Amino acid sequence: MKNIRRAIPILMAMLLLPALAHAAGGGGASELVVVADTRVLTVGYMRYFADLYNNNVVLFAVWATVLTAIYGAFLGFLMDFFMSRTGLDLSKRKIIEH
Amino acid sequence: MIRKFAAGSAFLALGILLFAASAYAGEVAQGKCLSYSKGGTLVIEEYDTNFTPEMKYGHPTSIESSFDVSKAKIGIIPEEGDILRIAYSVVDSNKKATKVMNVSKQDLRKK
Repeated sequence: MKNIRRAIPILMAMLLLPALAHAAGGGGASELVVVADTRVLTVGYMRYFADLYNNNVVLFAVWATVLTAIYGAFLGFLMDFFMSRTGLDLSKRKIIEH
Repeated sequence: MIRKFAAGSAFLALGILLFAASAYAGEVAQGKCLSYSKGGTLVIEEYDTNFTPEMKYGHPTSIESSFDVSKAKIGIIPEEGDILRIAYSVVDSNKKATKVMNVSKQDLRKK
């Protein structure tokens, strides 16, 4: 409990530091906007994703999430395959002690 | 059975959501800023895609295009002479910008 009480001022300072820096004249930075140059893209799926990035960033984020999940599943199944080839059976949790 | 139906429905909904996006296809233009009024109109001289070491943003085409930037997301404020890249869609023969990138002031190739 004592530790939590000690940590509160530090946490508050960390949270307020950006606001203080902004108030001290550190603000004024503008947002960086990036537009993908679709004029030079001829491959269909590249053009599709670049168009999505430019015009519908929410759907682009959904695609990123779905593709990340698919890639994760692919890596998981690939590693399962290799582990089974080495003779290790990770599907059973039985521990044998000698 | 219910679980399979729910999973199938979720995948179907996700598929429709993802592949319905072809309707959102927009256009991109790049060129030199000629004039800009905040929340109003942006006029550029369009550049082509013939990039050379001397003209790394393309060559001027003498085509002037104006864009409605009232609802556009604009990064570094454009000034006359800046090279801009604009994502837009054509609505009733008007070019409505969705994003404006100040290419010359945030050149990613320098990094």
